[in-house]
Amino acid sequence: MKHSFLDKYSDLGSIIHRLDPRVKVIVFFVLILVIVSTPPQELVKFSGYFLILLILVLLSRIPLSFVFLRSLVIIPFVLLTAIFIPFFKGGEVAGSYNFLTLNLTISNKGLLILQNILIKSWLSVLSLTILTSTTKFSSLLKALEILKIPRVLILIASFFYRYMFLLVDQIMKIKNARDSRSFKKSPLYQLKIIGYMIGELFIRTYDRAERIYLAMLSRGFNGTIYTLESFRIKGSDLFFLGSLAAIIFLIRLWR
Amino acid sequence: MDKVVEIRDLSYNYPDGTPALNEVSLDVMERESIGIIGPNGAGKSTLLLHLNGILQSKNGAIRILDMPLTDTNLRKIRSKVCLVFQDPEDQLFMPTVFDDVAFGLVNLGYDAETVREKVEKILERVDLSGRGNRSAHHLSFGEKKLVSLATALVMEPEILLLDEPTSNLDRKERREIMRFLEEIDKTKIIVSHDLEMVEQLCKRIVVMNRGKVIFSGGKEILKDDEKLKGFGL
Repeated sequence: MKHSFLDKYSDLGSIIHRLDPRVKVIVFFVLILVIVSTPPQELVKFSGYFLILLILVLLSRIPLSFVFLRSLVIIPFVLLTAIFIPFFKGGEVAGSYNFLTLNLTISNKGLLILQNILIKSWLSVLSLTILTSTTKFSSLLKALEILKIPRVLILIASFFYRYMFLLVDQIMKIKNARDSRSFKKSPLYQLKIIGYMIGELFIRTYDRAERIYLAMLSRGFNGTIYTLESFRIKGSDLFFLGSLAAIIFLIRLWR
Repeated sequence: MDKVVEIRDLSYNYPDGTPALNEVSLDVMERESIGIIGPNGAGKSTLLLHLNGILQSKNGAIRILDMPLTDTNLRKIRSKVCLVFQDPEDQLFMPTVFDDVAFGLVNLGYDAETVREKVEKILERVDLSGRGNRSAHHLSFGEKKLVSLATALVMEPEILLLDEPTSNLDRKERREIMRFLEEIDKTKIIVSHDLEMVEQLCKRIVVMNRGKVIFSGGKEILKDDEKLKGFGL
């Protein structure tokens, strides 16, 4: 079984793809910082950031629909946590409603905060989506490593990337095995089976982790993983870094 | 010929107390290829895990290349003795094929240029040159098996320990792996149920059952069905 849903378009080879991963990580990190620090009422500036991201997507030749659909995954989580803010924030009242004995008021300030959270989180995730779909996951990890992100975090991500697909395969296999033998449809019984499946997966994963560790020891592992660094900054990288940073700061600081 | 592996009265119990090896003694000569066969649970893989010190038993002694297998010699021995696991998904754990093959070399302390050269060379040998920056996940099972072998071979070990190198392969992949193994002029210890492969690749056959070595000799034994049955095979 084959999956590549994590970095599906990462080997397209456009201008953006060919940029040094370190440069991309830095640029997108700066962009996100700037986005988050922009005052909430400056909608023109947010449109500016969006325009930059749009141009980057077009340059990278990744289908627009893919990037935008993927960037939306965060919205439900944000809504879930932020939807109540307008009801609880005090200040100027935008509207009030009566449900039976319940009196709900929505404040302007609360609405602004909600809008602020939505726009900023979406733009940030959009940036990250562009970063991850124009960079191979392994290069991204290497870039983060060179940029001094703690090694433990990188290792966790690295193993996760390598074995996530295997785990999905295993879940599918167990599910197939269950479906080909299970006839009883009572929900309680199904739940029980799912419980067994989760337990089985845990044991298999644990066993695999043990075997992987042995395989690492066999090849001289002594506690630290060293990898070869193989990036070289080119003129085009510096140009991209410089020009994009300049544009971003220009938008941010322009009054 | 020199003795490269010397096992004396090695016994080992699993942590839960189940006996796995029972006074195993075995000598392996330089450049010899040995096939270890036996029913499942006979202790074949457990024996392999002892030969590069992953499992260590207090009962019995192992000498590898004239060094006693102790913690002080462990690093040296692991650079000379390479174990290839049965499941390539266990053997290949890095994000890319290149990193996987380079893993052992980098741990041995080679500089970047040498590592790159050696990895390229070995990937060429297994017909995977140019695919180094792919994830192991995107390889076929046969290719994964080949890369697993490459991860060990690239370290240029004196002794190669192979756990079921031909399991789950289709005929073509199996042929490729066998051709590749035949070309390797090193001491090889192969654990397998694939008797045909063992017959073709190994000079000497060792039969294990219930943690004991119950036969060691020429490969005529593989033709003697009655005897093999008697060994529990």
